[in-house]
Amino acid sequence: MKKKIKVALIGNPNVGKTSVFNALTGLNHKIGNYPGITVDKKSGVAKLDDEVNATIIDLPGTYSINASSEDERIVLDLLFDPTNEDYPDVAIVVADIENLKRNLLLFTQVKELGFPTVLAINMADHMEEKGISIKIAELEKKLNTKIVLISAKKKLGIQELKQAVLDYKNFSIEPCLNATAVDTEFFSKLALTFSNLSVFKLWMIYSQDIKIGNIGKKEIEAKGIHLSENEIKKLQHKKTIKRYQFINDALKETYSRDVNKASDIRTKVDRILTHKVYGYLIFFFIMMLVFQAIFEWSSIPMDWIDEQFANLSTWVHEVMEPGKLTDLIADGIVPGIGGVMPFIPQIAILFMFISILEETGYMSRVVFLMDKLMRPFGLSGKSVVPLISGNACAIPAIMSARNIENPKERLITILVTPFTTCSARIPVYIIIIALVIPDTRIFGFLSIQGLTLTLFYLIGFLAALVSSWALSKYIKSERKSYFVIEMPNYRTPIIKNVVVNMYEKTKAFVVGAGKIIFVLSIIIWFLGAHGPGERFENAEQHITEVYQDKEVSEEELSEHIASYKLENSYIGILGKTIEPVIKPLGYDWKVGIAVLSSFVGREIFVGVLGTIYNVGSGDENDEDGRIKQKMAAEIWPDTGQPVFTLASGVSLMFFYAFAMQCTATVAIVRRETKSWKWTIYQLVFMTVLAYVAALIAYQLLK
Amino acid sequence: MGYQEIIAYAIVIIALGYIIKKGFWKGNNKKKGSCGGGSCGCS
Repeated sequence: MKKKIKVALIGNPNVGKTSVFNALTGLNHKIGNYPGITVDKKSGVAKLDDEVNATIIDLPGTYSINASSEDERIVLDLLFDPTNEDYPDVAIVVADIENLKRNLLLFTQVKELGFPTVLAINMADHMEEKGISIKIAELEKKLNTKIVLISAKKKLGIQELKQAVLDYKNFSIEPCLNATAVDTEFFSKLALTFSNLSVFKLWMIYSQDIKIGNIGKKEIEAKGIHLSENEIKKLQHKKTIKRYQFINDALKETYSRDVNKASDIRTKVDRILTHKVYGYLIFFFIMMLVFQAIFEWSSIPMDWIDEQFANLSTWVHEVMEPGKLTDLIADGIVPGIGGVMPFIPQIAILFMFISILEETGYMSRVVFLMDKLMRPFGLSGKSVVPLISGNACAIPAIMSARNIENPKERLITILVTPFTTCSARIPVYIIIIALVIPDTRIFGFLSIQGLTLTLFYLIGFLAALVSSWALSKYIKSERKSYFVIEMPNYRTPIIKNVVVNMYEKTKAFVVGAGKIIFVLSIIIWFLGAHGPGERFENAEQHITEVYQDKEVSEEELSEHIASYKLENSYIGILGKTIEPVIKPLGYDWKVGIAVLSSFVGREIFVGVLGTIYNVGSGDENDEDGRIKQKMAAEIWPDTGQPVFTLASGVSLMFFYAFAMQCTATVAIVRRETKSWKWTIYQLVFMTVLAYVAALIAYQLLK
Repeated sequence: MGYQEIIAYAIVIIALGYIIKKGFWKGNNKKKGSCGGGSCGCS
């Protein structure tokens, strides 16, 4: 049987930890070229040699071992608790060749915990072009550790790293510096309180108010240790300065950088991309191009998928014998799923661009740029990452707010993040824009439809900013949290990473939306194809009598019967009940049902409409069963006017821009805030705002 | 009641059960794993 050891992968954010994890384990976890990607620990197995396997635990990026934020606490919980199932035998601290000085602070803390430690200096392939040289043997001696130069991206040095890990029992576990020298008297006293724990662990228990086994701050105080909060902070600062003095001294003699060689094009490009005017213009221009591409490139595959589902529905009716099961499949499930699946190309294209922007290093510049923009609105610099990530999905975005230390800033960030336009809004925006916004171009190339999509992304972002400004007036914060961001080098995107990310995100969309729309379309079919009382049962007889003296074709008559049946079905009755509330927004009861159902998730809107329209269609062999055509053909029965007009379309888009329509997000907000009060406040506030905005839009435009 | 009706209504009951379980029975249904891979419930 193979021997198994546990290895913790620790490092500052954005040092390429996940790349090292992937290189060691052969797994494909998402790598982002901007900080805050890993917010939870994850693990994989690396084969070190024929006899030893290692479980690699990739921890969230952290600048130090302090319990000031949630992700730092994950690191702390693992490294301090020997009973933890993932407690490591050896630690790999990953550092970036260009930011060694700052990265080594964390290293000195890990080393002080008494783990056999390997220092993996990543991105070493850039040493030459950056004019960097390191005296490895000397630095190893000073840091009392094993050092391996690696390039996780190019898979260089990975074998050496594995070899170093195998050799962990021969490493010194002594700290590389004596940080307790800043106050020898106090730390000697502290060391005597519980001799089974190291003085560093005791200090962490005392200063961070954590527990190891039965030992906590109270137990230490019971043994005569008393410091005020202020004294603790002062001592922490002194220790940090002591560590940096040690690191400075160690690097002075072993690490050198020729600035002349390093004055590369990057600095010049950075100056333009983060410029207070050009920076925003370039960002806006790039985003506009992305949305133009979403419309331009996706229309052909979208129409194709749409058509296939319409054909599938007709085919099911043709090959299966008539009956309830046939109706359920052909009029319920197929149109329901067929309503969501045509958006696969848009989602894939969006994530392809986001991946490329992350991979190239541009997203870090955007984060830096947005930091300047957000501060006047009462947001922390650290709110930038959740707000930008929210464009993909609000759930990981809200989770990434964990690295905001200040609880009030964190709360504001969580409350406003769902305003940013997540990918689930895309199906709604795309279909409505395609229906009500003309497909014309400005200057011959700028599509109005693409511009409208850009505008709604901006509206979502502005709503987040304005709400946070309003909330910051109400929720006062005593101090602002600092924001440190590292500017990674520009890199050529790795196609494999882009493809993997695109695939993962699209799969999450298809599986997530597909599962729920599958189930909902079954229920909606049932509610639409069945009804209480005689009106539903006798629909055919009633409509035939009504139209017996009028000249109507058989096809028209069956349409009238289907429509009458739908109105008197369970879903029709439910829809009619809510119609007075939604009619002022320009929606008929069918749209109302779709809006109501999409409180589960926004992307469900189109699928639900697909099912309702198919159940309400009298023609089983409807040749143009495509959702867009069906929506365009919908009319108000009393006026004969189309349901989807510019006014009702814009109203719907405003509703979806502001409404909190995602139960998973509600659940994650509750989990992260641990407060029902704020969760309900957010849900009510966003829903009311959505309703009012949609009402104003419709009343102004109708 | 024909076989089509029996199967169709059974599917409806299962779907209803699934929705109820998803909506009101979350206590023992906590998912593990990192977000973004489809395991967080987001799409």
